[in-house]
Amino acid sequence: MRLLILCLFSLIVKIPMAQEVNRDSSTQFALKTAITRLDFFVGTEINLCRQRLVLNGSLELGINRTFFQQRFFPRASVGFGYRFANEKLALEPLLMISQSALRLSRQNNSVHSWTETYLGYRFTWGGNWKLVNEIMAGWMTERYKVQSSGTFQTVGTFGYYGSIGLVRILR
Amino acid sequence: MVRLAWLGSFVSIFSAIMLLSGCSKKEDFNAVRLISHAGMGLKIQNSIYHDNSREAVEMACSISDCDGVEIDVQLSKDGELWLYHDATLETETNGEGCIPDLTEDQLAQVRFSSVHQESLCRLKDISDESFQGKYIFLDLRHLNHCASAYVSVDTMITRITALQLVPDKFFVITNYEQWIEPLQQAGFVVLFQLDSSEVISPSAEAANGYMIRNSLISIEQVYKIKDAGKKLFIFDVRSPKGIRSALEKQPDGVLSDDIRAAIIEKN
Repeated sequence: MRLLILCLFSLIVKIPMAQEVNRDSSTQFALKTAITRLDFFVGTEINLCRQRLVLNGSLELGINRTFFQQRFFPRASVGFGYRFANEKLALEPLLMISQSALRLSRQNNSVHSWTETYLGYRFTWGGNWKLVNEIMAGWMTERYKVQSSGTFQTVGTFGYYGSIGLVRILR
Repeated sequence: MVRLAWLGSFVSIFSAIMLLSGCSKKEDFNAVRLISHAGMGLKIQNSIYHDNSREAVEMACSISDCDGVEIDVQLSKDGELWLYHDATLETETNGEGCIPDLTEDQLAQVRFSSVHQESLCRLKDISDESFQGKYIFLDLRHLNHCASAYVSVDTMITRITALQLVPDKFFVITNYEQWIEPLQQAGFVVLFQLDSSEVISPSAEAANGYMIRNSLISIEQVYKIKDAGKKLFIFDVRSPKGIRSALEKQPDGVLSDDIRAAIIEKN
């Protein structure tokens, strides 16, 4: 475990030292599939890279709920990353905040919503087309209306997010 | 231009998905009750709380369209009813041994090995308000696995009777044939857990109804049992496909480990 942490840390630190950092801005478009505690997701992501900072926004759909249960289950996220280098191989820390909502019953319109805050890393590999992998963990809360009292209840637990995808640099 | 092409293609995909979502036509499953298994599900990853914890039971009862909750109940050494599924405490908690060998004081220290580390809960700790209007299924554990001995059914009956649960929405489950008669004599509606829908032993036929795994029963067998005037509940239902197949059999109820998915499928 210690060795793994050391390797990951050295990768983060050494990449920018290896070559001159390319500070160009770029816009990237990604297609990705992800796993969370709630469902598998598939969706798109836009990354705005401004020098070392990366701002991304994504829109995903829950596969089981949307496709197999025909109940629209969207998930919107914003993320903030930091690029140590604009190289073929890069490992970046990433913070992501997501919101998803699911209407369980059409009859009484009961909607459950989830807010997730995750911290983790993004690994990218490639040139104009890149493979991307994100692994994150954090806290997720579920909010829903209690049937008897009509008040809203919020409950939380540990959550995780793992994704793989394909990124295209647009400009 | 490239960006416009990307944007166009994905707007089309999302529109198609939205159209697909809107075109579904579902069967009428209004007569089937949805019961949340072991609180918010047994060993299921999207559950916030550990199965059979007070928090999980109260959460299940607070969700609209969840008709009730199933709870696993074990009797402690000093005759108190505790919520716990497994035979020994080692598997899911920081405790050791079997519940029938331990006293209330010892069990009060036990916590589940989960994120929230919920305390082991007595049945009487769950507020009456939570159960209000809900179906309650108590799965009674008759064996003390550590001592390879049977638990006292009389003490179990005395403790359950003291809870004064609403009779028409309250069921007890057992898989021990010798308990059917004393439980019925105490006024409980008894569901016997079947291992097969083909062969029902004469003593099990006395039960008011049955519990059976979804994979072990066909739609024809469900109708046969219901025509005989027995209640039938299906359990071991997790995936959307499994939930749909269980609902299509039109039993009296489905005990689902993923209550959110079950509500979506029913409604």
